[in-house]
Amino acid sequence: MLVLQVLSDRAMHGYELVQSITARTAGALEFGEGSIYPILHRLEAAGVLAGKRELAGGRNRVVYRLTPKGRKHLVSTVHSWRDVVAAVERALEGGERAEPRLA
Amino acid sequence: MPNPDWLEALRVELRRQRLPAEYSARLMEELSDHLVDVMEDTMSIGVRDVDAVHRRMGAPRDVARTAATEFRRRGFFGRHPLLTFVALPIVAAPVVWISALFLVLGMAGVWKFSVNQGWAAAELSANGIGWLKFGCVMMMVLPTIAAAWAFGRVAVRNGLSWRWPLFACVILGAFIAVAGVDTRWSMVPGKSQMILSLGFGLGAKELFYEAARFAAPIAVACWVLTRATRGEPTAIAS
Repeated sequence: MLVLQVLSDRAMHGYELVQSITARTAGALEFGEGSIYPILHRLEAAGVLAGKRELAGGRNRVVYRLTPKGRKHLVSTVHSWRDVVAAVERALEGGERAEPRLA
Repeated sequence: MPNPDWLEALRVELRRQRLPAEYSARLMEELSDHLVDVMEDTMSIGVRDVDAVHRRMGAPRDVARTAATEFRRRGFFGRHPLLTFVALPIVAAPVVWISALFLVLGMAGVWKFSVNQGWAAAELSANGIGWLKFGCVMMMVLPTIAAAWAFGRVAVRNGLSWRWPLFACVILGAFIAVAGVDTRWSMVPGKSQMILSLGFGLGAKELFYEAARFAAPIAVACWVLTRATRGEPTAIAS
């Protein structure tokens, strides 16, 4: 979801994508940068991303962009994620037993 | 220059994961580019620590494992190996066997075999009878060998462990080893018989043929799998 969200702004190559994720999450998420490529390849195989060799940063690299299918997938994934986060938040606050908050 | 040690370690790990050569080659190409970027990045801020670069890239084993997991998630067969290589052969083996038998019976009907005007052994030479018997057995063995080849190819294409197609072929082999087709040729027209059976023969000759039928799909799968491992990913250092 994070990969799709970052690529929804503009097309990027792998290194640029990793830098963008790190900047947007303020370095809170730690992951081996090499692991991003297998994920990109799977998303590409699923038709969610399209990869194309282009000249970027003075070198010939694979640049990934979101496909129309990917945009739809991103919308539904973000929606599901927000539902899950809201549900967990409710549970952490005590669920049905929680005291109603005063305005 | 990308670090050749990291790339070489990754190449070994990718090979261990049995990923297709084309997929591994593309992955290594992009990771090689990424490694150049990371090294330029760290050197630009005055850091010359190779370990720091490796930490950023991730351990080769972890990258290769992620690659294998993600690659297998791409297709149905990779996501459901139990269904594909265990449940499918259990269902498919009898279906293939029964289909082959119907095919034999259909052909026999077309040739007016075992009807009043049918053939008699007297009309066939010894060689002819031998070839017909061989044909009956091949009707069962050939679809099984084709299935073994297909299981091997599916495993290779999905970067799956060898144990899955080999397990499927053991199931197929066990089935065609016990499923028998035999023919009895009579001199009287219409009295020739085709005998279908399930079970082990007791004689040495029968046991030899059963062992050969059991081993055939396993041998085919081994051939497909070993052939696929010859193409190795190459490190692209640019």
